[in-house]
Amino acid sequence: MDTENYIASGVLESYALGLCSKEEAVEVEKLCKESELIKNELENVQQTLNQYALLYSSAPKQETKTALFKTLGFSESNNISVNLKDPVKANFIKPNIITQSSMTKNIGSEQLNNNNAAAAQAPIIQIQKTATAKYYLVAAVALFIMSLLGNILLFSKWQNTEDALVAINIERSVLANNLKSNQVRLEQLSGDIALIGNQSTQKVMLKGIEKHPDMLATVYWNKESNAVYLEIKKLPMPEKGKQYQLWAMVNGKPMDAGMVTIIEGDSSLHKMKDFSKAQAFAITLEKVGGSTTPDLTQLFVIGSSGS
Amino acid sequence: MKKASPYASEPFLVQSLINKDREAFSYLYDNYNKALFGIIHRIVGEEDLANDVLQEAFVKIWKNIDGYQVGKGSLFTWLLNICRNLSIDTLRSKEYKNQLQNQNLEDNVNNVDRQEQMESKVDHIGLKEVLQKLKPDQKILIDKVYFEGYTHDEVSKELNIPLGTVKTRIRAAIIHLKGILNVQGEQRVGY
Repeated sequence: MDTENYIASGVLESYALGLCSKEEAVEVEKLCKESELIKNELENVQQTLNQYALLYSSAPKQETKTALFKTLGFSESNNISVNLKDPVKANFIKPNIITQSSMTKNIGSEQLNNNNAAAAQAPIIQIQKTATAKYYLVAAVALFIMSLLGNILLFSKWQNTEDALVAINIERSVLANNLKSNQVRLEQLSGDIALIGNQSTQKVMLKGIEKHPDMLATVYWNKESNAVYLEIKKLPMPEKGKQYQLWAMVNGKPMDAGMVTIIEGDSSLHKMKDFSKAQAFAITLEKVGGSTTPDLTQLFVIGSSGS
Repeated sequence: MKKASPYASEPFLVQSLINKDREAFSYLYDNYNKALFGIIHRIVGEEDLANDVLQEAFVKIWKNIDGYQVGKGSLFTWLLNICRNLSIDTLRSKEYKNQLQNQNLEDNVNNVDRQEQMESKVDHIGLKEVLQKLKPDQKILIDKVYFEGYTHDEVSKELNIPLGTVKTRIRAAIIHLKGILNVQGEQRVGY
């Protein structure tokens, strides 16, 4: 099967959206294993849809998590105690068994005591003492293990909390950066709007010459401040090593008005060099960094300011 | 700096969830609740209902995590699809009930109002930019299939697109969407 045609048919998009028939879905899954190209394309589509979904992110109610955990039979705060209880229990059982066995020993020795002569008493006391000491030792060890486990648990909890804090801090700084960049962008756009709306701003349309009839750019020229701004409406992406250069025609001589770097999808205004007078503006394609005189064979758009 | 949570590794997170590790589940919730709630809210419209559906979705996720297959896409894709399907089912059964009660028209009006309210309430700059750049007919197309679960047939009838071209129209819309999202990503990196 022709892979490109298969991809172009849109079946992968339908699969990602869950719109495929069962047969189609089986085929997509099979082809994904066979063709890296198809697999990558499907991942691209899924990625795009995921990104789109992410744009809608918003926080649910805080109680929802509590309610969810309750529904599933575990609550967040119980987590600690649940974890704590088990090792504690486990350690309580052991000493209990040992205690019982030492008790049996005691009873046995008491019977021995009753049945036999006083001469036997000293060793019996000895046995009782050792039993008691053993009991305390076991209890102490158990307590020690318990506290050790508790400490380990608390330590890991503490570490988790610290990890979470680090993650939150990172997230916070990312958000702060986003906010900053949005503010910069907002200021820039407000500046652009103020400039375009300004009464002393003249709008000069630069239209494509015969060779490039569809190309378009606009110069906003403030006659008070002499500031010149350029908006690229439509120009092809320059090849590598080339850059667009704006020229102002002053008394019949082309003067360099600055370089423009085009970023795809970016429609903001470019600040160019100031001019107090200019009869026309034009854009040519030059080597990166610009030229001292325009290469007129590479003229793209031109427009007269009418003055 | 401390190492990140071990659950940050997706395979480990999934394995822990399969082993019914509650802390892993808590981590999963904390990391994905906003993204998943966002799409559920977008689909079902009402906030209270969206919270209920989110809870239901996470119960499903906890019970069916074994059903997640790494080969079929990322964990997030899988989670999103569970939430999307559940939300669309909820919406459809709700609409069905409404139809029975003969409140169809009135409710549709409410639905449209709610939709507009939501979109005007959206304060996410990224979303606004994307919605502005996406051609209206492409936005409608994507939203119908992605958020409202329209089938090819329904899309064809509702939007007057010949059935044979529905798939390629959807593809074109998604490619356009991808272009917009990428430009956006780059701009953000650029600043």
